[in-house]
Amino acid sequence: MTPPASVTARLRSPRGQLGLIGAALLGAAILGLIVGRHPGFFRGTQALAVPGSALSAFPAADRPTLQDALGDGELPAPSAVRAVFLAHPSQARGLVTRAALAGTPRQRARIVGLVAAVDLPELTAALSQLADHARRIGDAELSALLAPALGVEAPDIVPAAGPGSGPPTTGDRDE
Amino acid sequence: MASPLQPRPYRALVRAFLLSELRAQGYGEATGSRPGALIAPFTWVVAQLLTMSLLLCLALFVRTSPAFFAAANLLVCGVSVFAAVAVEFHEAALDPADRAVLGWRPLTPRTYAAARGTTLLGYVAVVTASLTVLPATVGAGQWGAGPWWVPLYGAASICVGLGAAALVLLLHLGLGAGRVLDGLRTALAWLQIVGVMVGLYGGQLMLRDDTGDLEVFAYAPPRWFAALPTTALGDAVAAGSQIPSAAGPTLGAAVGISLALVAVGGGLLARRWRTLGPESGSRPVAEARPAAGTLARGRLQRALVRGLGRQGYAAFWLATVMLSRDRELLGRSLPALATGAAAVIVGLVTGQYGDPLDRGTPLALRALPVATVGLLASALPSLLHNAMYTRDHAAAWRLRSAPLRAPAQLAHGLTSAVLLLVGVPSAVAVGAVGLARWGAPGHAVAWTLGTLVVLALVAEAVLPTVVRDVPLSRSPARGVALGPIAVPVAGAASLASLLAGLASAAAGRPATLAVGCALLVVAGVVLRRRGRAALDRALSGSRP
Repeated sequence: MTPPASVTARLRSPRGQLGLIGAALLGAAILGLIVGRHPGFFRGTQALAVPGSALSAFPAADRPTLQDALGDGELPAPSAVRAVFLAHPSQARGLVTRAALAGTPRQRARIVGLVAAVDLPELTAALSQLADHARRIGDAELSALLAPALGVEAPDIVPAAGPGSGPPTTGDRDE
Repeated sequence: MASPLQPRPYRALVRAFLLSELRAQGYGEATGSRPGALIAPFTWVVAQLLTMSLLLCLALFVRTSPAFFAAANLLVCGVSVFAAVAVEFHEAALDPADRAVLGWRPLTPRTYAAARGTTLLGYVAVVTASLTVLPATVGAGQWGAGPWWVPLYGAASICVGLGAAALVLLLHLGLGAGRVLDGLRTALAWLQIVGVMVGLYGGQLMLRDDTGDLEVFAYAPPRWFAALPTTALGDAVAAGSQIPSAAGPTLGAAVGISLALVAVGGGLLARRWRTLGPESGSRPVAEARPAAGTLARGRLQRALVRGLGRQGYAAFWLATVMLSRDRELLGRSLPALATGAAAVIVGLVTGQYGDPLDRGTPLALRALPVATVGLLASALPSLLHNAMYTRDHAAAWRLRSAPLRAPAQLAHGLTSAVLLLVGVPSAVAVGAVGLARWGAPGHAVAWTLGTLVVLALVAEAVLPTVVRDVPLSRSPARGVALGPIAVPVAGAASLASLLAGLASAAAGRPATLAVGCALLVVAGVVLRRRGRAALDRALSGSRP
């Protein structure tokens, strides 16, 4: 179907093309406002979990202990985890960061609890940095999780206004 | 006394320049839009930039901090504005043809400069707006973004856009890099297409990816990212959105640097405008570089003649000349490689580009390197098919009327040229990325050679079905870039992915890999011999 001659003539003029561009920018602004008002929906589409491949930086002998730490079964003994973390401090820091940022709520809680139990200064510093980050991005869940481990009071994070907004809650994400 | 501004000529010139910018063909190939099309190429570019910006915003929204969100979007804005101004420099800023067209008209230099300046600023403003509107509105909804987000992000984006545009002027007119930028115009025109493809591939990978690599990357970006000026600006926007004064020093410095760049670049441009644009620093790329010379002059050429045969070398030489000279042919051919490039970029960004020849690499991390080989191979039918078409097709009468004893050599020469000019650089690029990522030189070299062998084998396999005429003998028309090659494309991708997958499955067994490679070479020789008769028939039938 060809558009009417008047529309074609208008579109062929600079004014017509600029009108098209203006309409596209306006449409983008409206779309952006709609997306921006629903952060909860977009956070809810994620289903994160620390995968087994994240442990590939550790020697094969140490992986079962860490798999237990991130899994659903019984927690490994803090002394065993401490030994692994002490032997591989930079890898441990990477794993703790990944689990806190991209783990399921259960993985987050378990790893933060273990770090608090093993009490290694470098990992406590990592948790402290993560708490700052959580406060900056308004992640109330992570802040609430980290505060007791660091022995501080959880910051009062006020979610942005708007429907569907607000930091993620346990129900928003896959367990 | 300064020359006066003439209002009516000014308005007419602005309209003419605007039309020229909208219909300019710098983006003609990248948008598939001709000068007379209903939707102008530049309008398509705006749509592509908006799409790219939307995909980036959706990827980062509530997954990363507001500072990272702002920094990444500002970086993309700067790079895209730089590319847009470099692509349309001769249409938007300084057109050497202006002197011949306008020089004899009673125009004051001030009128000309004002009209050029208006359209150039308008061009930069529209491109910048396309990359600002979505991050400004979406980003305002980020957790942690304050009420001052929109004005501060807008201001930062304008600084980045103006700075990037002024940098192009500086490079063109002050630092003598015009030739280099002109040479890059075709590649830069495809930047937003590659961006959209990375966004689409990366987006769907992210939806399936449960590793959280993006979150981890954004939490602790690498040093090079932290050192970028856009990162400091992003930090300032995020901090200032809560307390505006926190953004003051950084944003003030950004405004100052942008204005200084604009002043220097604008001053250089104004000097050229005063002479109505007789440009000497950067002439357009020589379109008709003479392809003079005789065949088989050097040792390398003589070796190629021995390997390919005289007819084969003639086709090889013609194809290499045309691929380097005919921009339209290049423009039709390069997009086929974009999916392979996108797969590599996605693999690198998401940390899923694992070593396929290391037995310890999880299967999920081997998928993208294997898929890259398949996607590169799927480009071969398209490349060979497109080499049938050129705007100089009328000259093919020489090939058609030449007394050829082995017409199939023409097809083999063409394949060799495509493999040498496209296949080898692609395989080397894949190997270089692998070397940087895997840290295993042996694996990187083996994967490069394996990729080359697979590409050569796939080329031999698809050649008889794709090349049905004398190379470079058909007139290009709309739709020929895709043509009837869907089946060879699918076959090439499947075959190459299968072979690369088998190679990855044999990781850790060098003897098996070596035997497999040798078998592939033998298979290639057999395929070439079997295809020769079919090609001889097809190419003889197309000749008088």
